[in-house]
Amino acid sequence: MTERREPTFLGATISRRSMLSSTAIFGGLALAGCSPTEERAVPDEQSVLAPDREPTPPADLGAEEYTFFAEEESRTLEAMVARIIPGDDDDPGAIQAGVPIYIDRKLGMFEAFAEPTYRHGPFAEGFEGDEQPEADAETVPVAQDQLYRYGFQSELAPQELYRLGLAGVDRLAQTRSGALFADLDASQQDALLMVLDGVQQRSEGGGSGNGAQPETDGGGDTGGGPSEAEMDQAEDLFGEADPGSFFDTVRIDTIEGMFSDPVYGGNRNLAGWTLIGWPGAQRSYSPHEMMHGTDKQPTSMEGLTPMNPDRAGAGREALEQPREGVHSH
Amino acid sequence: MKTHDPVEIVTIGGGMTASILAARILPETSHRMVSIEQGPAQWTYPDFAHNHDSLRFNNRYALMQDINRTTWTWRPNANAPTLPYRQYGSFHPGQGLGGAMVHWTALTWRFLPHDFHVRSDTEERYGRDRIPAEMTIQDWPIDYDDLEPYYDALEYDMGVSGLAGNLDGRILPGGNPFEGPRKRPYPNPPLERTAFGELYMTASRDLGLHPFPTPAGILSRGWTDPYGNVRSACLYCGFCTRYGCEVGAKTSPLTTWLPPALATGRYEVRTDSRVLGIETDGDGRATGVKYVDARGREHFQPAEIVVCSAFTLENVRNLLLARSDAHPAGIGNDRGMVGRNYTYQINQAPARGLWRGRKFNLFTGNGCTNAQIHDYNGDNFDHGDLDFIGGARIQSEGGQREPVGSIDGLLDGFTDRQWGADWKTMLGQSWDSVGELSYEGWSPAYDGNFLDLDPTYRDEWGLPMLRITFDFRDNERNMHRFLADRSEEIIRAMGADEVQVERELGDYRIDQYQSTHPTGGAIMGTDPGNSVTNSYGQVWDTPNVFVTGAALYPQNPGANPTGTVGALAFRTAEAIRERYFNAPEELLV
Repeated sequence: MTERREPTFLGATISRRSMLSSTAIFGGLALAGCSPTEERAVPDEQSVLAPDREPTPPADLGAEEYTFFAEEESRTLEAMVARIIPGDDDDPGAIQAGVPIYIDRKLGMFEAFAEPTYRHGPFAEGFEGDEQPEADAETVPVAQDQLYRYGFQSELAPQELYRLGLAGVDRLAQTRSGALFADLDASQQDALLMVLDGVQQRSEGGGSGNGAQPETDGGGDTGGGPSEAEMDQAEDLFGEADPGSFFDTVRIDTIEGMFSDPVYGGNRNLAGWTLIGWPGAQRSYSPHEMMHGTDKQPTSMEGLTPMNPDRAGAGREALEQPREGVHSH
Repeated sequence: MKTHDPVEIVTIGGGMTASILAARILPETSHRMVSIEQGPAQWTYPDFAHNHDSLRFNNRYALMQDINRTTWTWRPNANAPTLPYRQYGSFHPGQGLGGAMVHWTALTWRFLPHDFHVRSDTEERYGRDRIPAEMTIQDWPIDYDDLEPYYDALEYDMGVSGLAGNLDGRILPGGNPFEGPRKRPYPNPPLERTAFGELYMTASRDLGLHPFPTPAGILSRGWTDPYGNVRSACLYCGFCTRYGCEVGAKTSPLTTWLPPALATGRYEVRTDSRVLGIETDGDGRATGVKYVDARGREHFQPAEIVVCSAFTLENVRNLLLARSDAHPAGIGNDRGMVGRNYTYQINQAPARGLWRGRKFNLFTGNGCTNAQIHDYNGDNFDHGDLDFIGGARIQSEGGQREPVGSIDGLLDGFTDRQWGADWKTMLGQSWDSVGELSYEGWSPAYDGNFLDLDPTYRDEWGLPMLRITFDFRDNERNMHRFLADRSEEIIRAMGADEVQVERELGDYRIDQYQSTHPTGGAIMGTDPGNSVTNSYGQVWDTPNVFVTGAALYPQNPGANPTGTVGALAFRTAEAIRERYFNAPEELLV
């Protein structure tokens, strides 16, 4: 353990394409009804980018135009993700990595959720205090402070959550500072997002992880968080959408867009993987690399060589597993 | 409805135990067997040849049961409201040929000898009053010695990689000294470790503990198994749990039992087909299963034996759904035993550390490229002065870290916020410098934790979903505090610059992944008054129905269930092959 070689990641060898900038983005309102899924190409068996099992990556990443977000919405979203993972051309963040396009494509290509989700009612209805309302065919009353234990319970599809949430962010910005969120300065934007984050923490009993506050002997002090009144105001102004879940959804989608394979539209120039030093899609590591680190360059799935590069027209059958007896009707 | 030609055996599900039954029963008999599998066919090649898409497999659950169509409901106790498990969190049942064993992490344990008689051991050593009245733990109807030959056969079928700690009573250096005696060493040497696994190994040994390499159903070298399957060693690619293995190094039905079973020509798996129910005749005897295919057409597959070989929760549900005049409360439930002793696994990471400027290469390897201790598992340590019974294995984080599955929460406590400029800077410096210790603890059974049919929520086919009533109790909360302290001792000995400790277990919440180890609900026992099945998984009140898998466990010990699921399936296969058809519908003894 005494001798260790630091792994190196030379992001400089990757050519930097022109970065996504707000001037290159056009409003996509007229295109919002289009379904890119219908135009998806037929998978090529040897392509790592076209798997035969759902869910598949989007097929139309060429254009920079938004297909789901309207112009106003895209401005607010860009401003949000720019605070969640800030960056510039020298130290790329969510904007430079194309995260807004990632989110746009994700919302555009799925009818509702990208992950399996059970969507039938009755749905939960939170209540405060000791008096439990009567259950009926449409709703299940759940004490507000217990709701987090049940996980995702919203009736809103992600598309509706984004529409309502982005409007809510702008309403809150107008109320707090008299301007749209995108027009606030960075510290005002951060303060607003901390309110939303605070609502999310509050819904989980104030802590993180399992609801129990971990002890720390090294982390920084938590500083002045948002007040209860600020969080209540956010909840009032957001209406049907929960400001905490909305913020958490954008935060998680930003992480996905920054750190998933570029085939999904984000992580441009492997900005996310270069930041954290992940070599990406690799076929193997040696025991030496496991113990001492690797020099492997970050590689996207596109750079992953096929596992069994068959010769055209031959060889494939030898690798097939026995299938006789396994079939669908 | 199409009625198919009758067969000897039909199984609900085409996963691990179904393939074991087929491979162990069919070659030496003339029986025919059909499995009804809800998911698609899938094979190492070509289906897993390009699987390095962490978004699709990790965040979008490509290999999991489609919970758009059917899920489970949960409430913490019988007085609390019930809601459906709408998105994946706590556990991840698989679907598709090979079942959850395709996407598993592959830790392959034998349970400790103590685990099979936990109630009588505890009463004898600590007195009867040490077991709370509400805790309904009970001894298994078999013990470690009964299962040893089947564990042995399973490990050689799988080519398990590990280091023996107890060879026929001899304690061997470097292995797990607490394991039961084994007749043979593991067939393959242990897997390699990441730098983090090595650090854990050294530090825990310095503390006087007994670390050993994780026994894994992943090959550390090329292996030709007893059926003649030729398999490759692990490439440590870092895409393992939640993925199919592209080289077949991770054992699954696809690599091991399906080839010999299908080679008989008497095994058939009907994929994309969902079982709607076990059918019975007027005497309550099972006659076969009704299912619906991908195009929505109904079928009936008659059989002499029906095996519930799906995931734990679906096995319990299928028993409860099989209501008839002969079984008004469902098959196996004539005495109200189905759903009882539902247990889970307490899987927590109580200690996390940050080592400034160090890299652990946690993105390499798999979930088994680490080390373990069993010093605080089962009754391997004295509970005389403690406020709980039972324990857990403690392990270092394995490998296979990839960004979209790890970044959220990685720096919890190390940075004020989990977004923003400071967080980004820290992430850039420390993504591979943070590591955690986790434990996997036993889950005792309680009166108040159980499974039944949900009165409200129904699945896409109009059938009631299974309702889970489950929460933690004081024994688990007290055990957590103890294990958090032990984990902290180890992580400090590992030299972490900053340490986060979760002292309290908190309430069970279904939105956070813990493990895919729901167990119990159709437990095995010594007689119909304390169980649903005998030790072969044969249902007491309907002897031509069998249950396989972890639903049989009276309670869940502090280790992954798969090794014992396999050993029990080997034992059941042998009994069906050698004895059942000599006296059909008689109870095996």
